[in-house]
Amino acid sequence: METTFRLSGGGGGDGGDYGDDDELELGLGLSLTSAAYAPSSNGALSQVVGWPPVKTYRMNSLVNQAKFSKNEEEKGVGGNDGSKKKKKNSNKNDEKMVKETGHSGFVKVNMDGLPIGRKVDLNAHDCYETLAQALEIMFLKASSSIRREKQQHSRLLDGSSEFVLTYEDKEGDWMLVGDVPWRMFLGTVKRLRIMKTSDANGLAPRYQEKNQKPKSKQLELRR
Amino acid sequence: MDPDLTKPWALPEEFLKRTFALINSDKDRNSASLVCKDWYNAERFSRRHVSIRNCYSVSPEIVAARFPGIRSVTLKGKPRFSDFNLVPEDWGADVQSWLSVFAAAYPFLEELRLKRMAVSDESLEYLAMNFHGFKALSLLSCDGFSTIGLEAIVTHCKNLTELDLQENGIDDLGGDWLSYVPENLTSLEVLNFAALDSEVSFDALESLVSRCKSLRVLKVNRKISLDQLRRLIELAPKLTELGTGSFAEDLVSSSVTELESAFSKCRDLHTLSGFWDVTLLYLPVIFPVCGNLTFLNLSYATLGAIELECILTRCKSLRRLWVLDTVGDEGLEMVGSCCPLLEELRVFPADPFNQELGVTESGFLSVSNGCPNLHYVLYFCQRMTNAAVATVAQNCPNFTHFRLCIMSPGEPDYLTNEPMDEAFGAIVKTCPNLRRLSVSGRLTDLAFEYIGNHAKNLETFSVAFAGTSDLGMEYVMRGCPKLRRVEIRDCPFGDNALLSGLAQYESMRSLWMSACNVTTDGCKKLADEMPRLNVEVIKDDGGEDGSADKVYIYRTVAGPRTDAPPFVVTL
Repeated sequence: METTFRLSGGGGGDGGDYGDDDELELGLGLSLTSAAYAPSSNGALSQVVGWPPVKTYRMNSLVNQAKFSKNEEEKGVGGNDGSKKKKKNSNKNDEKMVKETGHSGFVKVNMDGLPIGRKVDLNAHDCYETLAQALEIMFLKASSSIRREKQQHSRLLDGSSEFVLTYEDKEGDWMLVGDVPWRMFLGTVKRLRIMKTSDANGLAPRYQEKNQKPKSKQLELRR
Repeated sequence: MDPDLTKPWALPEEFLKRTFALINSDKDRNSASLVCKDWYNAERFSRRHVSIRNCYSVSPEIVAARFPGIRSVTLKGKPRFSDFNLVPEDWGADVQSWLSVFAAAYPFLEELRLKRMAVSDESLEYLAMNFHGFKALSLLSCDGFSTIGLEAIVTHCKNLTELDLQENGIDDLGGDWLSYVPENLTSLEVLNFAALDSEVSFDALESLVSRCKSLRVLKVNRKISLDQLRRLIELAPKLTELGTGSFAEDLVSSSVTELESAFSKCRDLHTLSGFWDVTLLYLPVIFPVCGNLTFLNLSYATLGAIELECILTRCKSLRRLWVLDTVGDEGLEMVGSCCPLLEELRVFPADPFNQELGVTESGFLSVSNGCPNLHYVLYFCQRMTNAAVATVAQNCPNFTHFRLCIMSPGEPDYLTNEPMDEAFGAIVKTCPNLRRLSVSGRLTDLAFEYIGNHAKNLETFSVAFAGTSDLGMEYVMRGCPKLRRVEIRDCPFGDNALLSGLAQYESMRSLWMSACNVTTDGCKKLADEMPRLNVEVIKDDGGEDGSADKVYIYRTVAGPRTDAPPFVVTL
């Protein structure tokens, strides 16, 4: 997308809040804030917090709808043009479906404090680092991420953030992300959750004690 | 108080009391209260309903002191952009501090309508236990409570007439909250639990519907099947508003004819919603009531043009229509040709992050051609042209609410590649009654100049990813005298723009600016000049020092917030 607007163009000298350095770094002449909208391979809208302005309740509802359309199709309901059209829609949605088998592909990501869940394509990553960075861009302030471009490690993985990245495995246990080899992780992950570090204290990295399982589930509910 | 002989025009108190008791409009009451002290007092003693559109503009103590006889309260909290996750958790707007004061001041409170407030289960329980005649609870876009709070409400509110839950962030813990409604409660008139995900006890629901003979509004959730819906409708043929459950499961215990017949007995039905998972197979069951419908909400139904046509050809009286963009431009053509009386249209995106074509300028044009009475539009689209919007304005000069959302930020006219300035220029020039405007697409300061010059009745203004300089915001702040609520995000407006609105802010409800070029210095300047405003900066973790990433400014008689979390700083 071409962008030609500049910060406080003719508006006056005090438009220097964002210095030239920042403009160069971003390369597009966008303000730091509008760089929250950063075009990516699939067309980009998913990067911006709260845009397009659709109420979170409605967004959640739509996520559930898409899931259902898939089931509809499998049941083979309807047989005329109208429902065929709908099947077409759900075919497209299929690609973005929540995969429940634990194979690599799209998994749902939730973050404590946000009612909207998002989806991330695990296939697009080959290591924990890029996944965590992508999630940081998606869920945490994009401007912060841009500053962290230069950093080696995602804060979600090294414990320095107030959030940690966790996942639910095939057995239904919640584990900290990062300890098993990537391929093994892909084979077992069902969904992800960005949890508050304080809530994640009950999770052990390599194993999940069975008697701790109900506690972490309760933590989820009490959010 | 005897009429003072030196003031021959003073009216007897009794006369004033009775006259004021008849005045329902808040606006009229507000005006009347300014006439003289007698009228002020007559007004305040006789007022039964108060609407507080910003919970921080006044304190509950001040409200209770001025209006001793309140029975019904409407209270709104968070800035509207909290709907889109722009306001951090725990920002505030907790209803409890209001309830605590009301428990003492208004023990006979009957109605509470909350929008964007933080409501805990404890607060719901507190409400249920402390207001013995409580009748009507409406929660819209609130969060912080669970089904446990609902249990408390239905258990203790013996005179419940209304329970209306819309689009809330409810922690749905399941459970059987509906079963807690006492067997002898027969007063319910409105029940809306469409937004809850979990199953409710159908037996309890059926019994409730059966014994509440005054039930007029029933909106069930997705867990209610068609069979169950049929049974409910048969018990309540006098419904005026119905929200269906899911159409997904096939009818088992009855036939399509029986369901259709149940609908046909609902002669008073004028509003329909729900329709989750509906297909052509079952749509015909609503045909008998289509002719009377004035409001049809299909915004959770992924329908195509053909299904939509099926319904709309029978909905000649339709005034308000909400749909998903799955109906496409063809579906909107149907709207234009079938619904000549249409006044309001909302088209929501089915998959906001997918850039597949939903609806375009063509659909918009079709609707405007067929519906000259259109005055409220909310339209989400991937692309638009200036020419199309100009034609729409010509076709529908009565717009009061024009909310156009071109979903790619900063998107130009896709045919000419020009900014969308002329589109919004056309709207404000042609529609003198415009009160609400949401703009989108690539916009230069020119668009704002048009708005400032022409939109003299504008009250609510929302803008994102637009404008070229401070001038943009200045045009609007200086040109539109009736502004009440302004929300701006991701625009290049700085301190000068912020300060240009100085003359307006005390007559406005609020201003929100986020991700713009405003600094804390600029905000401080504003705060110093205008002591009766709260100038709040929401601190952002990753933000630069000195820049004010999120600013919320509003008039208040209550002073700075006493409950502000650490990340909200009042300057």
